[in-house]
Amino acid sequence: MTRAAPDSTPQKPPVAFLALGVVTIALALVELWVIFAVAPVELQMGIVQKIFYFHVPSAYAMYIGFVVAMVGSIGYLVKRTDRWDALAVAGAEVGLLFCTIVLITGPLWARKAWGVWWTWDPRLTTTLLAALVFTAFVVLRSMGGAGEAEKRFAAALAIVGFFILPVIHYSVQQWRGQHPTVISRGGGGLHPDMYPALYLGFLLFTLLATFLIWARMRAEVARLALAAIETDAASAGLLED
Amino acid sequence: MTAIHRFALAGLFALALSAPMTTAHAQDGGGAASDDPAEARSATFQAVEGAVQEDIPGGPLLVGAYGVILALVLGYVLHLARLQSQTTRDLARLRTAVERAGAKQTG
Repeated sequence: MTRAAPDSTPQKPPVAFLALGVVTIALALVELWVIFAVAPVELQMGIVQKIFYFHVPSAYAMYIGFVVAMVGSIGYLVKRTDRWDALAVAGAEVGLLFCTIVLITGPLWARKAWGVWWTWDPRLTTTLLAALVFTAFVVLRSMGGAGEAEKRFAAALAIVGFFILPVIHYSVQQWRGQHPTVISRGGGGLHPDMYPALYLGFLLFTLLATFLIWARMRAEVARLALAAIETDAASAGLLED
Repeated sequence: MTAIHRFALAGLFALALSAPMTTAHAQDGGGAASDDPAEARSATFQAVEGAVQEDIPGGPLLVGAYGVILALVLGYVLHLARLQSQTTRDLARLRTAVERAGAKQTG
């Protein structure tokens, strides 16, 4: 496999990248204002229901991350280029970050709503399963000097992990469980004043996930380019240690 | 435009379209919760009227949840910043080593 000579010049962040970061921060402040000043307190659960406005968009951002990991993995298996590999790593890490947020904020809500921190509900269990699969991916890729075989195995893991996502999504409709179905099929919906906070939450977490995936991918591409230069320099006998 | 850029643009487009469709779809099914006990779970969120009364205080849980989100996202951003600066440092070190070795070979 031939590889183009990597550019050793540090790349400045594109303007669009910086603008995305600024817009995301501004939107986060607006979202907090809408959640606490516009959206009403929920009748049954009280103030703890406001976790919902970050919990559900976090799950959505988790889907984004894991789908990107799957696409990057397929791209890597087909093209075998560093950029696709970097995309897979970035998607898996960011997806796992949001999955962790979902798995922590969910029990904090459940303590109030159900009286327990955790229950083996289908949606909770399948989300935990996805977290374990992508944790394996991240751990595998975090080991120093991941070679071609590790990259291929991790790519296959991400593709397998992707197929848990539809199971998570449709588990509340197909199996007995306790997880609310407020905005799923058969759900009763939200109070009209709660929708702006939810819509803004979806937009905010879409931008946040995009920003983090982009940032992680930039870092991974730079790291892979550095490793390639180091290998080339060492094989040319330019490095003593 | 590379394949990754095209993928990123297409992905953003699809995301922007899919989020409102998900909630619109949910609204279509409003109030259609089944009588089956297996399906007996929260199906609506309603606004409280009058003073708010809670048996289990939700404040600490809410603060904990928002605190965890902030800590995890900020922690990850700091991790990325450290990774980027580490790469830049390693690049500078490598460049110096290569230049020194090149000078030694020519000299």
